Amino acid sequence: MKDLSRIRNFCIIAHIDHGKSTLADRMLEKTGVFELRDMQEQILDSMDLERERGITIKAHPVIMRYKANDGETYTLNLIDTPGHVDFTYEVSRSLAACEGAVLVVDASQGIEAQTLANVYLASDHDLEIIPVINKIDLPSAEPDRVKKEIEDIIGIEAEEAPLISAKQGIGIEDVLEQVVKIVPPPKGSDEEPLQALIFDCYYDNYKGAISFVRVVNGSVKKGTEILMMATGARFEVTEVGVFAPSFRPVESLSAGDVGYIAASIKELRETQVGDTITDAKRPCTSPLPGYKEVQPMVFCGIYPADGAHYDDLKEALEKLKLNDAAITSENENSVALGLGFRCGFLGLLHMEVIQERLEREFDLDLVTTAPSVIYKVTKSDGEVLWIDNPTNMPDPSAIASMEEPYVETHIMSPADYVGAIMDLCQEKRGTFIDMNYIEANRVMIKYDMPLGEIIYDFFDQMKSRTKGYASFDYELKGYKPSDLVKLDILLNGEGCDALSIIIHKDKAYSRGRGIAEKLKEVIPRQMFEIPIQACIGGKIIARETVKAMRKDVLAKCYGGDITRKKKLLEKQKEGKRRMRQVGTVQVPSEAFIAVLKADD
Amino acid sequence: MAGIYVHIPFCRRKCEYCAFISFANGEVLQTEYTDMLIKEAKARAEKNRALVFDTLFFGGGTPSLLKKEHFEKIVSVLREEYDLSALKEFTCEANPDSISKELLDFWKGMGVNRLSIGVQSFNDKELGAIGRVHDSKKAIEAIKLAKEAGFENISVDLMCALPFQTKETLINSIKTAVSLEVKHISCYQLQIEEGTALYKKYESGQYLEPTDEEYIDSMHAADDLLESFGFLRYEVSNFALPGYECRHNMNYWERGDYVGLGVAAHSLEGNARIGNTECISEYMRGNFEASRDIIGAEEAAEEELMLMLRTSKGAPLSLIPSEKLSMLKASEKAGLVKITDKSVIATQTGFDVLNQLIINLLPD
Repeated sequence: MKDLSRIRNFCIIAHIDHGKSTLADRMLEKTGVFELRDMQEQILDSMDLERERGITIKAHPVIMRYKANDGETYTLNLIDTPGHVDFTYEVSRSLAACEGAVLVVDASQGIEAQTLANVYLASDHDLEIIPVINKIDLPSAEPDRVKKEIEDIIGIEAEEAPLISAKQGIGIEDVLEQVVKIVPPPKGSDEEPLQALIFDCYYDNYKGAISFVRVVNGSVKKGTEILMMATGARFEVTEVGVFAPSFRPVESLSAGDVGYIAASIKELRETQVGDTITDAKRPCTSPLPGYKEVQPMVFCGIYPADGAHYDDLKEALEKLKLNDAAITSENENSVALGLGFRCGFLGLLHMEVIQERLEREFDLDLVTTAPSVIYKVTKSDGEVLWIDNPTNMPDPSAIASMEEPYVETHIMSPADYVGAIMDLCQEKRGTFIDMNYIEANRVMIKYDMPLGEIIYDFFDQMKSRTKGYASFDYELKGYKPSDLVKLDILLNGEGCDALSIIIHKDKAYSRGRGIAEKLKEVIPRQMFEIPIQACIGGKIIARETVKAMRKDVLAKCYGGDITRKKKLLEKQKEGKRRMRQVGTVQVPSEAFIAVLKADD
Repeated sequence: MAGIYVHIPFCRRKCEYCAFISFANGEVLQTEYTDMLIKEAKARAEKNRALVFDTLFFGGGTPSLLKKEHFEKIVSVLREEYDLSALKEFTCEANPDSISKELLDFWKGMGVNRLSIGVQSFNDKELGAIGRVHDSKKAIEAIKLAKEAGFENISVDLMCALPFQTKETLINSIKTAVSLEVKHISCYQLQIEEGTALYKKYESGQYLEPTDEEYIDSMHAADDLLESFGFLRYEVSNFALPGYECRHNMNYWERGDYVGLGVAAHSLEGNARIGNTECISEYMRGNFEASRDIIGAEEAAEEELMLMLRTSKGAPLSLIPSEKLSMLKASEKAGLVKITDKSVIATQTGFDVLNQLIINLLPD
């Protein structure tokens, strides 16, 4: 029987920008995982995008050896977690792989919405929470206030919370000591049948899909025949190892360990996050709790800006899907945009990240349509449809009722902005739940809101109306009946499918006007006047006009030299090719994006 | 139909807007240039033996600067080497300042039957702004002189969008031209080409380009006025009394064969578009041809559409690709084209946006 008493599995949780990644880097440095000269800022966030945005999208585990003050050497497995609401499920699986969590709170900002959301998640998993107050080197730091906040709001003891500066490397050992002292060693036995929780996965070009696991019971090594309990797939293990932080093969992994399992798995989909891996020859009786299939919540159409690059886009999406099992994609054919894909994402950030990766890593020019949630449509004949694309919405006369997804939103903000936030939430069709003063000048406001409003411009609006001081988080609550309509846009009398949206009836008028105005700005003058009409079920609710171009004519054709003219026309034609033809109207790609930025 | 174009790249002085190939101090070059031109004419004759040429056009530059002996030599070689037996139109371009009774008589004797006079404007302020050598008085004299010499087919070039020009001054220039009983008026928009003296003046803000609205307003007024005088806008920039359309230029739009001789001249020989060198020293070394593009059937059809839409005959409907028929209908509805049994014809407002019309009706 293996001694588990010197293993600690933990994660770090924090609100964005409170210094989670920097603290992780310092811990690695302190435990000698990296020589200083090899250190790159924030090693765990290895994707460029993550580094630029200062957020962690994919979780990266790492193993550390730490000689504690008690003279013993401990194995510390740090499981980094994605820090955004879109990835709540991934976070919850990472938390399930740990026994403790280091909670990083900014010494001047205090507790934010995501701090709380993460703490609640960690408590749900019975993790021991170690509060740590970071950025104490800042002049605005108020560690005592923040300690009190932690005790008052979260209700955990914070007197002993290490006061650190991850940036300056102050207090890092205190954190490591507390991890050893407070986080309990893993339970479980390597003699029981194998039970390993997949908390993340990764696609390697040579090794195939690799499962990141926390072994709860039993052991696994090269040659073990494994069974994925949710998918039923079987594989023979080709390699097991730990994260050092790059892959380092080991003889075996057993109860309490964190590591990876490679088994020549071709599809990432076969290593589902949350699934339990067991020994096919000696299976455990039941899987570990908490598995669910991840469902995309936000959808949009993605098209190549130049139709000729459809195959490139297809290939790029396939590659990204290898690395991110949460993306879904289906072929979509738009009259305006041609061939493309309807893609599903966990949330708005996830969507933006993927769009950006497609453009950056695969050098693609994309046109994306307005994001949509999934609407539930009950037809008069009783049939229920789940609509993620406005184009597929049935005729209003055939619809008995419609429902849309709602979320509970938690917003934390300085009290000064309560009015602004409540105005915004009202505008976004929110229903007030409650409001609490968490301290003299900080409030937590809860609203019930349609997800469809959140994914429009809620985040940007909230940032601008609170000067960036408010933070928010949300949780899916379910579907509620709603008075929804499909808003169509006609250009010179012809519908443009890619510009259609599903929207609440009360907002349709103002949004229709906003979109028409925006389109008027971005659609260039053409040889005839172009009416832009917003309409609901054939009824025009807004109209703008792009005036006709007055003059575009070539001059003298001298001495039979038509080559100059041809070149000029060729250039103009080239410009035209970058636009989308909607009936008789040329629409620039920006128009499809502009719709997302239209004011109500 | 087939035409011959002869480029005479000499000018007394380069006009401020000019981006064409011409040389202000070219007179010393004349003899050598004439020899090379004749060499080129002879070299290319063989290939064009089968063609019957009905138009001959001396353009420039300033053909009126070409010495008699050179002109004579060129024309006689052309008559020997090319079939000019059915020649109907023999045009010479001339600037008002280089027209004399003596020259006109000489040309007349050589068979020239059409004059294209580069008047540009009958307003002296406008003429000064673009650096023309002549004034309006000189221009009027020149036209009268030509008529006296027995030329009845006279065309004048006018320009619109000139500095200081207003709709009224343009109208006045047109009225003056019409009162002088010219049969043909070309009305080109001033192009501010990079590298010209005028370009700098517009760059620095010394002159302001007219707005699109001002330009269109002037052009429509000119068009309407000319129509009232019986002139037909038979091409986007050309107006003529019935029967006085320039055959030579029509041949360009209709894609007939033409042989362009001289520096920077262009030719269409069968399916080959040939561009001569624009470099005078290359030309003088006998390296005439600089480019040769073979035009396939598809490209030829596109050219035809693009060129014929410039004319009042219009482009054959059969050239419009089927996927562009809705665009064609929309254009008709917007009043940009008229559609007849066989043709699509640009209207006045269609001519205003002719580029758009062309690119929207061409295959993608």
